[in-house]
Amino acid sequence: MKTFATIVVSAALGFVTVFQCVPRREPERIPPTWFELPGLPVSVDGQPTRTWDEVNQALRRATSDHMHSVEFVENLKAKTPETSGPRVRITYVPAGRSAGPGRTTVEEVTVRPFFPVAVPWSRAHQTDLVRYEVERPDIAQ
Amino acid sequence: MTRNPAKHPAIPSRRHWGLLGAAFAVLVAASVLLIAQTAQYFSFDFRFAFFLERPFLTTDRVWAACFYMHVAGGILCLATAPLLLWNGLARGHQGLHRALGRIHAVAALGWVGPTGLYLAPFAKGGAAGQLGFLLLGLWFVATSGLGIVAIRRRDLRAHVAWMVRSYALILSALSFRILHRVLHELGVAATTNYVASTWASLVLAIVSGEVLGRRLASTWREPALVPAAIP
Repeated sequence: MKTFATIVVSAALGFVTVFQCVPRREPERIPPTWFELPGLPVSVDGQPTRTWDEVNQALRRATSDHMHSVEFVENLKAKTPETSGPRVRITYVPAGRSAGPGRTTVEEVTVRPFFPVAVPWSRAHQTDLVRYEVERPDIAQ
Repeated sequence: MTRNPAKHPAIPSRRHWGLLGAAFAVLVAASVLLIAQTAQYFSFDFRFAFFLERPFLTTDRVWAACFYMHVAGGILCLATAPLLLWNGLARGHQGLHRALGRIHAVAALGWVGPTGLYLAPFAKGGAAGQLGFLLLGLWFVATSGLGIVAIRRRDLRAHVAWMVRSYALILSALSFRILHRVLHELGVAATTNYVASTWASLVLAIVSGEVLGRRLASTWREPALVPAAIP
């Protein structure tokens, strides 16, 4: 009886402690692997695109090609905490921007894929788990 | 049915201890690798592939708390189980065995078991994958619980048998990863691979636990009957 009481009490205490330690995260409407900017896409690396779905497909193709390259394999061997892939240029028309004299309607951003945090001895990277972030000019190398 | 004493000696021979030691060394090394791998989750970074596959679950703090408790308990079980088994079979320090046993019992029945049962319905692989994890959780709680009940009744043979079965189920975490990697390399589709690895590791754990548990329990002798224990 005492043994099982100890187990129950320690389980309850453990749960409360861990629950308090778990970082609070806001619910996400879209999966973190989906890439979208407010506005309409124009092209990915010069290739015309019409929807964000096409942009995502183009990004995955670029990432998939990169994953089979020698450079990526070397990156994995180095076991960096997070391996990034090749940069991709995306042009789009930002939402609410109208054309006018002397104003460029299209904006270009550089997007960088991030692979899931590498866990040694575990499965290989999967392209459907890659997320994409716009490279900020102040941290661009 | 009586066992042939020549074939199944009550006290393991030197050769048996050697084989047992070698197998144990491999298990411990693999367990250390698994502990090193899973301990990385405590960075509380949600960019691991495991979380990216479940983006909507990671915002559920109950699920996340259960996941971290499951990992922490699993690490404790993986670390203490080989020491307990070796210490118990080699009739080592009883005080150490009891102390480690209490930690193991809390980790297994308080942390790993209940959280595993909670996490099972959220597992990948659809109903087949979820059922596999549910059975694994139920059998793990049952074997660990019966092992503790047996030692409270001072039934050492039953305690050895149930705890070996429980340890085999803990090691299914290891065999699952090995099988999953092998099937992935063989080009098996992701979902099929997940379900096949889950069930194959479960069956392997139940069968090996049953065989080894029975074997070790049948060769077990009360400490007073061991010649080395007689002055």
